[in-house]
Amino acid sequence: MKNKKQILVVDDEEDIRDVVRVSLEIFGGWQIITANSGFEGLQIAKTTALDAILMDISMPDMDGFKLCAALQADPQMQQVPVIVLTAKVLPSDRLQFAALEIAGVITKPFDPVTIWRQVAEILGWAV
Amino acid sequence: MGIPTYLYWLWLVPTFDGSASDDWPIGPVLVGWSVAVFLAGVGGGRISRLGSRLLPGGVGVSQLSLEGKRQQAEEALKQSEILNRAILAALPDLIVRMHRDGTYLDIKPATSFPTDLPNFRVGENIQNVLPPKPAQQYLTAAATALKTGEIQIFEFPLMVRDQQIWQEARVLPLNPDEVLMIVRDLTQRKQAEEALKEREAMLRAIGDNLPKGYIYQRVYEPGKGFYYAYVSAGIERLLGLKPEAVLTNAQVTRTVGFAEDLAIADRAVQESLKNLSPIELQMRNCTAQGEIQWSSIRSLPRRLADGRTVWDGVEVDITDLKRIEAALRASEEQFRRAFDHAPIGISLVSPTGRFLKVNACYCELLGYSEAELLKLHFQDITDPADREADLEGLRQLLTGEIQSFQMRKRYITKQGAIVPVYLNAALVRDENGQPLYSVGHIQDIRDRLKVDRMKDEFISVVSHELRTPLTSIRGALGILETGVFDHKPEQARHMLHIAINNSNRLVRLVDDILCLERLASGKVDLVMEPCQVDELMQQAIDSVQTLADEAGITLSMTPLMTQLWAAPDAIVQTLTNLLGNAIKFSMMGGTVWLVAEWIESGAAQEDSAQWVRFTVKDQGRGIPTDKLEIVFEQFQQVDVSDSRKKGGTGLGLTICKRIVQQHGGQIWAESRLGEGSEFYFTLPVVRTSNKKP
Repeated sequence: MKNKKQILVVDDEEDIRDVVRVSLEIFGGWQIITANSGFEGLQIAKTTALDAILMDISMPDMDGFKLCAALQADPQMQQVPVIVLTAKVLPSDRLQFAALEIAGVITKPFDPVTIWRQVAEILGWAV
Repeated sequence: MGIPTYLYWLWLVPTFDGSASDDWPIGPVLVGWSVAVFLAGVGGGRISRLGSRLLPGGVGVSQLSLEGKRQQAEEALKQSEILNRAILAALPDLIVRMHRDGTYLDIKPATSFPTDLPNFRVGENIQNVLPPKPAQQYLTAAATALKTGEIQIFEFPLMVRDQQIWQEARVLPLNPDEVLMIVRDLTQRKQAEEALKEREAMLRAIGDNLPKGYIYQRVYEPGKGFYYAYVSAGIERLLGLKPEAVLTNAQVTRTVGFAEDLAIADRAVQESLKNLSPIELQMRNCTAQGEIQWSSIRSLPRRLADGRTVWDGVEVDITDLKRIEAALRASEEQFRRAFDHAPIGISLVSPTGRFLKVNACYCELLGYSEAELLKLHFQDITDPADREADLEGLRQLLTGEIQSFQMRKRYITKQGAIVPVYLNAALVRDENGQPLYSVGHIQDIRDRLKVDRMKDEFISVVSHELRTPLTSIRGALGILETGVFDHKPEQARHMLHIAINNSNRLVRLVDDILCLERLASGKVDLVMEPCQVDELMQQAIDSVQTLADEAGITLSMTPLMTQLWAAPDAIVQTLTNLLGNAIKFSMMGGTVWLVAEWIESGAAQEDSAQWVRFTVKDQGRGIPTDKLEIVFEQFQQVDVSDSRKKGGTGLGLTICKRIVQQHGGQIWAESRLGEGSEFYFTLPVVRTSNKKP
């Protein structure tokens, strides 16, 4: 497949990384890179051309907020659309997301078959 | 003939002094009780020349022995007659010369009262002038006077011009057939006497009918001391003292008083005696039943001309008033204490918004002193964003649209901090419905908001923790369901493994959340019973032995052979949890120790009871110092991924903490990074025997 979308998935939960990777690769047809922490994700983002980043919020050491801030601080990385993939679903949690420069939020648990569509719709990609 | 027409005056002047002058104000010439007697010529109007002045102390008759001097004597007599007639005319009394048969012989009208009775004229008989009764009294008196030669005095009422008047008659013998009647009007004196009697009766009635009190007149007489001149009957009802006893001996009133009150009363009396100041006292008396009776005593002093000092006073029972006052004071004190010490801020605010009264909590909350707040309006300390709503609430209260209102608002403290409060305001009106002030209760809701935030955070964390394994389960099963791995058994098994692991994790999490919730809410009481410490330890060791074996960890136990008063399952759960953590964070080949030992009360334990301390020690990676305390909080693992890697839920240590606390013990951790950790908890020992095992 030519010009395959390359998406970085950052989550400290290995099982969730696996499920997301399988879902987006199989059903979305995209190329998935995974990172198990904010630090690792930032390193990958700095060195890899990415079409989008799906990141968890609750992660040790560098959580999603810090990772977003780090991405925004870099002119190149700030161009990459970010989707938060989170289990934080309360209104108070959502208020915190409003301050982030992100393209959208997908809540956990998600449908592994349709999550790719959600991603595409948020990012305005043709499905 | 140069002699007065028919009258000569003979003055009879008594020898006694003028002590009765008030009764007989007949002028300066007649000192005291004087009687002017006029003598008429006996028979056919002939004149007996007996009239002359009788000097005090006796009767004198001028004698004319020499013809040459007759003229001189007659002249002197004439002058004397003129003088006497003038004096007689000036007398206020009615003077009548009357024959013993009742015929008026001469009349000198009174100047002080009317004498225009029908037929009242010379030559008329008294029985035709006066009503029968007084007429008979006169005739009887005349007969008696003529018989005895003594003056007869009597009083009688008479109707003149449809008005009753009182007169006093004095009847003196003049000669064997005539009497002189001197009649004086007593009406005013009688009226005064009647009025006085009426007043005395009224005073007595008032004094005797005072429901709980009496009136009195107390006297101080130099040289004689204090005594009571009058005491009304009520004193017996009030003090149990008979009026007669008090009148006889004033000191008996002191027998029912209290020494300290009597001392105060004595000083007040002395002050009043000195300055004629009114006396106002409240005193206690001891009733016959041994109860305290309160009296209010008020009296006004006045000094008499003879040097006596008289207090007219009243003593009334005010025991009920005192009781009500005491109840009122107690009520006010209760209100004041409730107001001052209320755990919420209370303010009274005028209809214009000015503070009228604030309690200590209000002041403390806002950082102002009471004096400072009383100079402010509530708008001054209200956050601008809340002023409009607050003013609208007050407006509706004042107009009566609402009886009270509640709102969340923010105050600005003197230090500039914003304090969120919950305000409950109501209006108090006077009996006419006019607004007096509003009562505002403010409750500092910072803690509540903090709790709300913590609750939100907890729910958020729990939601997150539940959704995380659920996400993996849902995702793995969802993928398998599509059949994409039907021909890829390795990937399919991996997905199943994800689903099963996370299902187990979810079960543990739900169990721990429920356990924690039950402990926190107190819905499940820990059932305490005597437990053998060594048995509890062994049960815990047994529970984790398999886990330790799988991890290649050696378990070492130093048991304590004693009894505890504890909930055995909960203690085993605590030990198992700590041992499980120690095993999970230990390297293969390491050792985990479980030790129980006696400790004496130390700094950590405030009382002198004995304690058993449990220690779970490992050789794991250790815990950073800054996390030694928060590891006992919910979902506060040192590493978030521990819950996944180590199979924990993030609630184990929180559950341990709750269990230990509910036993009255303490739990804490010590650690050295890279060397290992020690988790301790203590439990108080409730001895079942005096012998230490």
